[in-house]
Amino acid sequence: MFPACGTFFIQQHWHIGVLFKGESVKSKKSEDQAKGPAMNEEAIRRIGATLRERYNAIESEPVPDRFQKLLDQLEQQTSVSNDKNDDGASS
Amino acid sequence: MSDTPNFKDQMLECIPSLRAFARSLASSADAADDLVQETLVKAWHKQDSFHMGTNIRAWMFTILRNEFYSQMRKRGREISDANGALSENMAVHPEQSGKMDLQDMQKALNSLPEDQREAIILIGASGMSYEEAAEVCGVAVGTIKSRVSRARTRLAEVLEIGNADDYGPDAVATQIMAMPALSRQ
Repeated sequence: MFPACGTFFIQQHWHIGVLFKGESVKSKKSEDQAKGPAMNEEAIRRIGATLRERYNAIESEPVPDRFQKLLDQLEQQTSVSNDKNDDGASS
Repeated sequence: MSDTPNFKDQMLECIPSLRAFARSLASSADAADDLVQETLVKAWHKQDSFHMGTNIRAWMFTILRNEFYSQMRKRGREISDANGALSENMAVHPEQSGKMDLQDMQKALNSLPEDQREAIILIGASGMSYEEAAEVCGVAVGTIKSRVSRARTRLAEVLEIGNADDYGPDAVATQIMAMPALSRQ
């Protein structure tokens, strides 16, 4: 009986793992129950895929030079102020 | 001093995902990059509070998020109003092909309350775990879960795909099934 329940449970909720990595199936079930019928799994997949597509597209954009320059500048400032603090003893 | 270059390299590696996260919070791409810039400055000066070997992405996302909300408080509700204007004329109608347009998704995201938007971006798009997202947002794991759930429901309503039984398997669905690993650590 228990194995049968488990199989049914997984069938009903397998899609959660597709969209939401690392989420425990058990906790998701109680939320779905509280919210009424679970969303269409195709809808969930489409939303997840589009969100990732959009996010990955931004991540793949070349990083503007300003950020590299900014970090170089910050590094330089830190190094100058450390040199002052160290009285030139080390760099 | 010796660990400064290492820290800088780690920050550089975070920039693409910081920009993507910022784009979800800020009202424009320019505003998002300004936010990233502020975050880098803040993070640089706070580097003593970062423990090497721990999760720098979550640490920097936290700084970015705090910076965003702090700016928002300073400017009144300006940013929120901008999003409100964008969310007019909802809902968005998907194209006949059933392919979901990225601009439609952007509009739909803008219609979400901020807490739900950041939750669905962190979990559904950036690949963070619930624990990491909870750390970034400074709330309990259960809170993140319920925000994601509400966000997902709202997005489906706005994008009118809640009852998408008429869509067969399409390119998007095929794509996600073929993705080898959605998580990045």
